Amino acid sequence: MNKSKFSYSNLIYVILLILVLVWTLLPVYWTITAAFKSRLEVIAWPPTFFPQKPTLNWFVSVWTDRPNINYYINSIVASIGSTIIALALGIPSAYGCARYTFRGRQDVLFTILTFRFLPPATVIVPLYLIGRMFHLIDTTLYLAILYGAINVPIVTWVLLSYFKEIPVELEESYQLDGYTLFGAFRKVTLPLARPGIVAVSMLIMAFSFGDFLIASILTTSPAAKTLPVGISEYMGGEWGYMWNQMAALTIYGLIPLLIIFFLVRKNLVRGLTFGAVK
Amino acid sequence: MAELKIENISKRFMDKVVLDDVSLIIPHKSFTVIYGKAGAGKTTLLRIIAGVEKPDKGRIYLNGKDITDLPPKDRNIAMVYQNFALYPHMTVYDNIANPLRARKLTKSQIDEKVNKISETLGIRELLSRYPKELSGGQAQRVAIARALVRDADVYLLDEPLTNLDYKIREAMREELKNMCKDLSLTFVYASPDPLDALMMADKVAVINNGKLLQYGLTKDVYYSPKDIEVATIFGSPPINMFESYAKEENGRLFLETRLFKIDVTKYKDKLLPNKEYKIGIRPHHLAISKGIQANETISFPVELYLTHVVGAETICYARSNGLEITIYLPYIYRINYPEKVYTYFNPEHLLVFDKDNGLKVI
Repeated sequence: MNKSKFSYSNLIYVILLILVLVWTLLPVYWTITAAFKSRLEVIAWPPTFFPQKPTLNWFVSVWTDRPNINYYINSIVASIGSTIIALALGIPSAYGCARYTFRGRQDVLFTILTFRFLPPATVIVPLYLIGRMFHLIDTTLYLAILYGAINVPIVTWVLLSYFKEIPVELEESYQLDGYTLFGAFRKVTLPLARPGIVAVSMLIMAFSFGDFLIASILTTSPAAKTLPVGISEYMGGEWGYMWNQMAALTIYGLIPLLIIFFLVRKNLVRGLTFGAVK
Repeated sequence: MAELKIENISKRFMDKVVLDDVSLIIPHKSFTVIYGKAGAGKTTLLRIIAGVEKPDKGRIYLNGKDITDLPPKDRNIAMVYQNFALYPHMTVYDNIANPLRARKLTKSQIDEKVNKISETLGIRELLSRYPKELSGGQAQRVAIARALVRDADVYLLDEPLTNLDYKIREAMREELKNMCKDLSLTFVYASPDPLDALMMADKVAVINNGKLLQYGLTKDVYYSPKDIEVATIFGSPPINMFESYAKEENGRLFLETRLFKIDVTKYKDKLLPNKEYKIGIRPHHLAISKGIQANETISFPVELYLTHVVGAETICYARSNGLEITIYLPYIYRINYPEKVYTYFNPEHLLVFDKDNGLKVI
């Protein structure tokens, strides 16, 4: 075989790949370098590709000049809370639709899915009014509930295919061994669906951690504001756009997601491709 | 008396009747095969006995106690599934130990029982493996071990040998039969293969389209099927059926087919002259020879056109006068091109059915 085999289709493929990578990674690169640049350099024209005098100032100052630590904690609480809520509602609905046939099952599934098509912006006013009614405006709890509810359709649909793939005989057999249906569900079905559960959890966390729209309207105080809202607070104001702080805070925000993605990456790949083949 | 009593069980899925008023009593310490084709309702019957499916009508009694409404875990019934249903995330040891753990046995008791049963089934060296690392035959043994490790009142086996290859199936049949007998267990075994029933079962229940057609000792059902339907579906290879006509000649009664004529004068009180009957002859009641056989038997010429050797036996396909005939020989017989021979049978083995209502008359 000729090692340096050249073909035009390969060349086009490589060029396209490079374009896609640049398209995706350039903003990330810009953000990372901006966090190390000086306030003047970040708005300099022509832009610099590397920070001329790298500084760690912004990584320190974001913790002191604003209540960002609160925002950070709120974000983590909201994403974990919403994941728990979405799983608690989505797992039973997926399981029910996978295991039992009942009149209107397809309609139920479709209705659940249509909620996901709904842009959150269209319901933000009613959500605000409902939240006020229950005194939930400006609480992390309300954010967790909403993020959770928005993601129930994803959980239902991803896990539906998982539960369908797990033979019902396994659960029956487990019951015949002398356990309850719930025991079988907990000890057989859930462990076998774990890659799917991990994968959807990641999606929910990423959604909740990154949401700006809902948090910006439904939270007003540092007690409930989240990281994306905190980042946006560096915009405008008397100092203008504070790109450096925004970039530094963004990097901090990426860290927990990167850690979790790294920890569960094996499950994730399997989880997101499950059912795609075969 | 310890027994499993199935009383008037009916079940439908949507508009399809799966079981229609099935009643049978399965005695303690017996090997019963529920025989029926795919979709006959046998698996549903097992699932209802196990409690993972609810009947629409009817009751199930175990040792005199009504268990119809009990959940599976409270029935003390074990089941082996056709697809094995091993828990993929547990080792073989944990799979087998699972029912024992549910019964809160101590660790040493569990250890002892698991080791004993895996010794019996020859899977001792597999205990630390996961199900995906097992071959079909091994997985089957593990599934059986998981059922037998408990002291269940009844063991249900749903086509456990269907997914195995021919050789293992033969060996497992022998083993299951011996286990049932040696350990004094009650086996209820669903199978679409008549050989399972013929080789292992004390009793067989023939089910078709959700109806129980006949239930009795295996040899009775086989040698004396109630009607044409049972005779046709229960037997491997399938029974040969011939149209015949009863004729009276010189005071003697004959059944005449397109191939042969039999004197049935001694059954005169059961047969009517000038009436149509169906004659059934099991393939293994037919034999072949080069020439016409002696008086006791009925011979007729056939042309063998295909032989199919299974193990040390041969299934021969023949035709004669436009009729297809299957002959089962207990030895190996190969042909390279169509061969003209005589086939013969002992009239004692004759099965005669009324053509109108299908019921067996002789």
